[in-house]
This record gives sequence, C-alpha cells and structure tokens, in this order.
Amino acid sequence: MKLKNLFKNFAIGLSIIPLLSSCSGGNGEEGTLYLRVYNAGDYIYCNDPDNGYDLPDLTDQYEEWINDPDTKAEYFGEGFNKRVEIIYDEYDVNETMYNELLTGKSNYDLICTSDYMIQKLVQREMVKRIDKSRIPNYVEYASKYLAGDSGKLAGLTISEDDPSLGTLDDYTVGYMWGTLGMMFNPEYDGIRDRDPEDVIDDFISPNGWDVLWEKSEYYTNCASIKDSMRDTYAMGIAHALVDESGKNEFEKLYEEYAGNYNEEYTKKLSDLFNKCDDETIQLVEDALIELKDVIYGFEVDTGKTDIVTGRVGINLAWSGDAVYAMDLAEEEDNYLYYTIPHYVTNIWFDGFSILEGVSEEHENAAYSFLDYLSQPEVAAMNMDYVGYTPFIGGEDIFDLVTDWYDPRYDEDGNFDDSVATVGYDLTYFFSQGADDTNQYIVHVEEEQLNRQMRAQYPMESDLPHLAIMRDFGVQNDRIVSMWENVKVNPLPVWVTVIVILCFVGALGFLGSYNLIKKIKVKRRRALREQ
Amino acid sequence: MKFRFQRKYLAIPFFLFLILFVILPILFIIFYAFTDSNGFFTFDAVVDFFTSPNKLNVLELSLMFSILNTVICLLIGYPIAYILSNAKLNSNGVIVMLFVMPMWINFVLRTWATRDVLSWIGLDGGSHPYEATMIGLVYNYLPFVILPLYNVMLKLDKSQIEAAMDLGCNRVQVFVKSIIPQSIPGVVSAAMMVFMPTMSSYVISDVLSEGQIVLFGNLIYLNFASSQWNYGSFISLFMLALVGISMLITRNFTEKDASKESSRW
Repeated sequence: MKLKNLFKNFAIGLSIIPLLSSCSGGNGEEGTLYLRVYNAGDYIYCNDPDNGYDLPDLTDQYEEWINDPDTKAEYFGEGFNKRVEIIYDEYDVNETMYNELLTGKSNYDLICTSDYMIQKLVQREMVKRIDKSRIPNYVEYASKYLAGDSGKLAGLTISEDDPSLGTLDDYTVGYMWGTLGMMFNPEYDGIRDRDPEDVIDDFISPNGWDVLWEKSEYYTNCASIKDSMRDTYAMGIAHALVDESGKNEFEKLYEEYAGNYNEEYTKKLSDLFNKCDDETIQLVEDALIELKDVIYGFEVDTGKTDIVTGRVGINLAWSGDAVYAMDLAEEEDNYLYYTIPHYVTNIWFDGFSILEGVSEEHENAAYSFLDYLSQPEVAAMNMDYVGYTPFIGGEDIFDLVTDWYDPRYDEDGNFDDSVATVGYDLTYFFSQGADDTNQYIVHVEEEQLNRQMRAQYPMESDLPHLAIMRDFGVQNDRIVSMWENVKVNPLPVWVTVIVILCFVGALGFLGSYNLIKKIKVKRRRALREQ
Repeated sequence: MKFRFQRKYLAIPFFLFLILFVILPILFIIFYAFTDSNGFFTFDAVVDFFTSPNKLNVLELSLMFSILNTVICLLIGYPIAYILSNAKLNSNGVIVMLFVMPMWINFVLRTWATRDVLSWIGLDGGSHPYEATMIGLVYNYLPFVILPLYNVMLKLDKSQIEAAMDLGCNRVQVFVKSIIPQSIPGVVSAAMMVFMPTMSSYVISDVLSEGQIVLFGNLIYLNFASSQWNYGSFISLFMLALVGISMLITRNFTEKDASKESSRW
C-alpha cells in the first residue's frame, strides 16, 4: 500500500507544479517559452559592477524587453500569451559545439559560431535560412561592408558545386567580426639585440608573417601561437606558399595588382589563401614544424594574458583578444602593438544561426532576440564589454568609437585642438549605403594605427587583403593529420629501444614474481617437512 | 501488493550509477572504436592506430614519461615514506600531512601555479618542455607514492627485522632481505597509482610544456576535437586495455596479501 500512496502523492505533486508556475506569471501569461541559446564563452554583456558594468545581464535585459506586451505582439503576433525566457549556455571551442550538435541530443534554437562552421552546418542541412524581413534592426544597422548582398558575408558561397545553396549571408545574422594578426611588445626582454624601433618595423613590414621564420635569431622563444589547426594553417600558408623561384605567392599577387585591387584580385587572393591540396599542406607542415622550434609554445587562451605579464613578447592573436590585452597592458603603462601583415590575413565572422527543426514559436523568439541584439545601443554595450567588434554600425557605435579613441576630447568632454591626430577613415564600415555621402572619420593618435584602433576596425588599406577562410571540406582529414605531425614530437631510436626494454622488463618482473614466490613457498614447505 | 524494504535495495543507486556512468560509456566506446562514421563495422581505427607513426610515437613518449615518473617518484618517495614511518620523527602524523597537503588543492590550479613557479626559477615550458613536464608530473604524483608506501612501512614486521639483525645481518642485508621484500606490495601499488594516470594525464603536459608535448591523453582529446570519434574511441579503448592488463598482472600484490604474508611467519 505504501508504494501506491507514494505514487499517488507524486502524481498530485506533478499536477500542482504547472498550476504554481502559471500563477506566478500574474498578468495573464499562460506558461513559459524557453529560448535556448548556445554561444561561445565570455561573448555577451554580463553584469560586473567591479569593472563598471552596472546594468543587468544582457539576457535579463532582453527578457524584460520582450515580455512587454507590445513588443511581444510585434514579434509573435496577437494572441501569444506565454512568458519568454532565455536559457543561455556557453561552449569553449567550435568543435565541441559541433560534436554536441552531431549527437542530435541537444535542443538549442539559436547557436553562435564561426564562418567555416556555419558553412559546414549548412552543408549538413542543420541550420535554416534567415528571413531578413523579420530582423529590421539588422537590415538597417548592420554594416553594408559585411552584411547584405554586396557585403563580405555574401562573398562566401556555401558550396562551389551547388550555387542554389546561396552564401553565408543567407544563413547567419552576423554578431562579431575581426582579423587575425600579430600582437607584440617591442620592449620585451626576451628579444635579443634588437632595438624596439626595429622590432616595430619588422612586424609592420608588409610580410610580417615571415618575421618569426626569417629573423629567428632575434625572436626565438618569444612568441606563442594559437593551439588551433585553422589559425596556424593560416599563418603557415601566408609564409610558406612560394613559387619555383622562392618568391611568396601573396607578395607576387600584391605586386601584380599593385594599387588596383579589384574583384579579380579578391577572388585570386581567396583561392590562394584557401589552397589545401596535398602539396600545399606539405609545404605548410614543413613550415610549421620549423616554426615549432622557434616559438615559445602553443596556447589556447592564455596568450592574451601571457603577453601582459611578460611571459611572451609576441602572440598570434585574434583582434578582440588583442584589444583586451592592449587595454590591460596600458593600465600598467606598457604599450603593445597589433598589426595586420599587408599581403594577406584572415578575416573571420561569428554569427547566429537558427537550427533546423525549431518550432515556429521558438523561431519567433529567436528572431526577436536577434533583432534585439542588432539595436545599436545594445551592440555598443556588447562591444564595450566583450572587446570584439560587432556587425552593427550606426550613430551609437560611431560615437562610442570616437569617444574611445579621439584624444582631443578630455574626460569632461572639453575639446582641445592642439593635440596632434591623424584621420582614420571608417566610412567603409559606417556608411549607410551609396546615397550616404557622410565621411566617417575618427581622429586618433598616430600610434593607434598599430594598436586598438587597427584591431577593432582594420585600416581601409587593409581591406582588399583580408581573405575569408573556408571550411577545408574533403581535405579536412588530411589537415588534421598534418596538425598531428606538427604537434607530435619524434623520438630518437635509442629512446624507443630503452622504453620498450623497460616496459617489457617491468611486465616480466611483475609476471614472474608471483611464480617465483609460489615456487619458494613450495620449496620451504618441502624443507620444513623434511 | 505489499512493499517490503530489504537491505539490498540500498544498492540500487549504486547499480544505476554503475550502469549509467561505467558500463554504458564503455559500451559506447567499444561501439565507436569498431565502426566508421556511418556506423558500419570496420577495423579502420585499429589499423590506423598501429600503422600511424605519430600515434605510436605518442604511445612511446607517454610510456617514457610514465616509466620515468614512476621510477623518480619511487626513488624520492621510498626513503621519505621509510623515514616518516619512524614513530619518533612523525609522532602525530603532521609531517605526513604536510606531504599530502598539496592534494587538497585542485590539481589544475596547482598545475597553473607550478607553471609560474617553474618560469620563475628559469625552467619555463617554452625553452624546457620536457623538464617542466617531468617536474610537474613528479610533483603531482609524489603523494600517491608516499601514502601507500607509508602505510606499508607502518605495518613492517618489526620482529622479522629484529630477527634478521640477531641472526647476523648487517644493515644493508636487513634492508635488502627483510624490508624490501616486505614493502614490495606497497611499491607495486604505488607504481600502479602513478604509472596509469601518467599515461592519460592531459592538463599537466599541456600547460607545463606550453602545448609542445602531446601525451596519450592529449592525443585522445585531439582526435575527439577534430570529430574523429572512431579513432579517439579506439585509442581510449587501447588505454583501457593497458590499464586492465596492468591490473591483472599486479592484482596479487594487494595489501591484504601483504598482511597475510607477514603474519604467516
């Protein structure tokens, strides 16, 4: 009888739970709709009063915003009475997220991930097309340089073989973007016999990628690079791709089109940068193995703090991490530099995509969240907190950037014209379209050309040389094994012999020990009996 | 229906735990180890492991680190345990506690701290990846050696040692003929406590060598991270087999055996 009672109580308990929760809504809301979002770690505004971020978490702000009846009606239509709440989870690297999605057991509605990963997900038919008409803020405020029909996102076709699949722009709502570059500290102790001025010149030179290889006498053991296959491949190919005479292919292309970097150039550059036939992979592998002896080590996310604490002096960094490190170092009057080597570098995007199989209600919620994130004031908040650059342009962002970098305004907003500045042209990013004739120029100190400003928004002259890195596709396995070859340490033969001998010896000893003991005991017994 | 509580029902949570977190995962690993990405049976992962110079290289490097780590830990830990078991020196166990105290702190935190200490004394992982990793491993696994050895040393049969001395053994002979044989069970279990975990250690080598040394654990991670679940699973299975084999070989050296051994005479 006891068990029966238990079940009964349990059943009553179950039936009460929904009653309770629906009561708590209070203002005629029936139940709750949970929007499940999966984003990379540390990638959204969070409440952090110690560092001056006083507002509540962005997800909480969104909940307050969407649960206003008028806003809700706008995104869900009339008659939708559920309370909308967000479940926000974080992952560490794209591959973890991808593995989790592959198991098919996670039920996220919205994921934020990188360009190549979205390409892969589209090819596996795991994400939906984005209906731009439902995110008016994004259409209005997202930079025309990145989003829209002529933006950078549209430059990445999902599949060369099947044009009907469209471009990245059809599947993702851009969130943050940036470049891959070299961050360095010219005053670093570990750099041998090299003046800080010369160090800056070395890295700012157009072939900045080659420095670690070609000037290893100065820079051995100073640099840490990303412990990631794709980023190191990008660095490797920028250095290693040479023609028969030993001339860098990117340099050749750069000179061939000198000053006239048209669409043909962009196409050729992208093809070169994404080359991954067996021969190229071999070249990159050799280069990276050579590099391994020169660098200090591989890092996952310690590079940005290591360069501040002085453990390393050079770091292969993503722009946002570089901004973070430079800000941190400046607090101790230590000035770091970030530069984008001129011949070629990687431009990357992170964006939100809606997963296939999401119900209509959840899709509505997802669009409302994306539209919310695309408001300039929200994007500005995010940019301030995260350090990466959002897709969103607009007044608020431009004011924020001016506020940060224009040295002519002091803290109280007083204008002082005597400070020397140079103009940094951001028209390419903030222009609202062809009929917007405004010039968007930020006046910055000259050093900013190779500091935070350059990291946050590449210089206009960098733009033609930024290449998107596609998914490796069928060559992926080949590159994984290349990466294995790079990471694994070959051992000399005598070590092999000793290790095997030791191992066999230990096993043999342990195995025979028991046998010997048994024999001994037997012998003793025999002796005693005698 | 009458429900009567029986004591064996208390074991139900344990069995559920066992099935969910031990048996099922192993079955999954076995399944993935012998299938391809489409779920068909294949020996691809097996062939790939034994024909890939890289993977064998990693196996060998891990074995090298494991053996060295075991030997160094025993060399350091054995005398320490012997000295600590001397009641005069360690009357209230404080010194043993001091040796074990680092284990109270999470080992990931300890490893990051070790990284800073090593670079402070000039042995940073960037220029000395092998040395730094080795020091980190020894530091982390030393308590695992000292504790079992200390326990065995406490139970040393003093009368046997006295008898050996009475019968004319000098100190060296007493050590070799009485103390060492009596402590062999402790040595073996200490060695096992160090050897197998070192094979699969992942954080220590990754952090202290600045990502320059790939051990077996890192290799498994590398495979899973690049979506090569089948290869990764086989490597895990292989490691499981290694653990199993060493367990089988050393199962006769348990502590229970030791007490039997010493009380027999």
